[in-house]
Amino acid sequence: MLIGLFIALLLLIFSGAPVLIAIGIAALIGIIITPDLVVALFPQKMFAMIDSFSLLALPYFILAGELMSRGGLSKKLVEFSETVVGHMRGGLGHASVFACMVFGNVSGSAAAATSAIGSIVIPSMNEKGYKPGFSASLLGTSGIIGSIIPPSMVMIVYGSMAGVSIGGLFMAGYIPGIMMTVALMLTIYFHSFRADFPELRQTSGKFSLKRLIKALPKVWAAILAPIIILGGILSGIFTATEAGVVVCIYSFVVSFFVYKSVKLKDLPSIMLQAAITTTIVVGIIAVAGAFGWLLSYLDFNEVVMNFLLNLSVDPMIVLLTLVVVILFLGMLVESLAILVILMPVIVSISKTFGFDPMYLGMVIVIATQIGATTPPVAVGLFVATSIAKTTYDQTLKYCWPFVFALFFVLLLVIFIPWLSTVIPNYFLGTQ
Amino acid sequence: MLEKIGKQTDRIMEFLIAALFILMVCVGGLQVFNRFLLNQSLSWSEEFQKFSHIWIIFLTIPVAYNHGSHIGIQLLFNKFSPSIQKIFSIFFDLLWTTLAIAIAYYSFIIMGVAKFQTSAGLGIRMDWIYFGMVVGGIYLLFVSIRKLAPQLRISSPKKGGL
Repeated sequence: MLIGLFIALLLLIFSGAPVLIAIGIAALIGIIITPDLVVALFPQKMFAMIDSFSLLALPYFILAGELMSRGGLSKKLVEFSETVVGHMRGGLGHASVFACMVFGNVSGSAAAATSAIGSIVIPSMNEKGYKPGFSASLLGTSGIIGSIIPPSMVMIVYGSMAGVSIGGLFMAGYIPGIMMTVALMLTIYFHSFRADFPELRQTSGKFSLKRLIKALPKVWAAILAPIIILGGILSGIFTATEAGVVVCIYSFVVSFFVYKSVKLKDLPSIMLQAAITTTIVVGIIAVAGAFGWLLSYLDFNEVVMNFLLNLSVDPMIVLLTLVVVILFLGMLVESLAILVILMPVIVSISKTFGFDPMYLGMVIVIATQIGATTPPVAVGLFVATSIAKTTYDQTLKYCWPFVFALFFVLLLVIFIPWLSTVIPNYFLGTQ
Repeated sequence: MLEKIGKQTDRIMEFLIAALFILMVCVGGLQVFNRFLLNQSLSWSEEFQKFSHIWIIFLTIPVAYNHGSHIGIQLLFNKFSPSIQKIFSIFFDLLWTTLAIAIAYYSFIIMGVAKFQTSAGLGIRMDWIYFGMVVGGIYLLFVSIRKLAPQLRISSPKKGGL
């Protein structure tokens, strides 16, 4: 039965059905054919999955990102990033990675960072002779920095389901996020020495402190946002959800009154767009909740746990196996759905082996995000490919060095727990 | 005729979603303001936001479907011939129809039970919350029928848009 459900799910996903419908129909059919279950459990479990106050941080941070993007923040961020890192070999490439990192401070989604920064930077890259497939690979992978630097949608989902402090996870994301930025920039730098990448030897002029200081006021809005989010959460003033509300209001004020690039008449379309983006994510979480519940009912979690424990009782080997499973599934299925479906297994592993919750959370979050950037099913690469107006095959030609760079960071995070625990432990105390 | 009513319904739903979202942000802001500045918590604001969120999600699932925004993996699909694509496309719309009926009908069944429960903070009957799923399900059904209708009209190859 379990195998049949998974086969049906994969067949639907690969034939092009939207992920929501594929998981939703698999869950519905599963509940119908399982004896002793009533079908009303299907909507009830969807409801229960999203009936959560922590999850509310999602629409708020999505709205804040939408307001900031419409307010023209991404263009200003790219200009600012060029003044910071543009003087290096492959300047524009570095600037786009750096911009994704700074954009991550207001946005919690990899796809949002890829499309916001990519739509500004990819046309300029094409003009400067960057290969479109290379640009798409770079932006498709850099986007995930946006989901590791807080706020982060995937951390909100993880925190709310695993009962782990979302604020703590946010703080744990900084070091890995910065490491990913450096890793991707180094990858560009190494490419710039290859004979077939002459375009990467261009720079955007010399570094000038004067230019940097001049550019800084244009992006203060993005730099101030993390102070509000983390400052508020750390000082205990508000929860992650309330931080989301405050950042929404802050983004509203900045876009309407400071940048003056958004008019009141744009508000309904901004709200609707934010609602659609939220629903694309939360809709999948809802049906994955129903599917995950059905899997638990059918003892899927026990099967997986027994498999893992039979393999080894060494916590590190179990964790590495779980990471491999997540990475593998991430190549085939949407990353948030995997997280929701595997959550009971993750919680059992956490209880059995007593991993630090921030450490385990960060490893899982990064693994799901890298899974989401690994072909064939790689949402970030899809988005960047369409912005670069190239073919997916071209993107795939260049994506692997970037994916491996991110994978290297994941390995560092796995083997050096300090990287993800030092900041939350310092601020929140050892948990 | 169907299209005209459809467009009107879309407009009403989209307005409702935007208005509900604005209201949710305002209540969230009010909650922070009350707790941070007036030092008193509101008993109802968390529930209001949670329930508005549920309504927003179930009303927006059909809107996102209508706009073609739901994430799907199109790699293989794009390699199919147009006629195979059309068959798959009809099949997916039929799946949406099935999902819509399941959500609307079974949420309605749950409403029958939920009306005996009252929410702790807002003090409203819980069937009102599930009602959002029923409305969303019916709207989803309506959108899927509108998508299916032109595709199933066998002798109308005009535009050929998939």
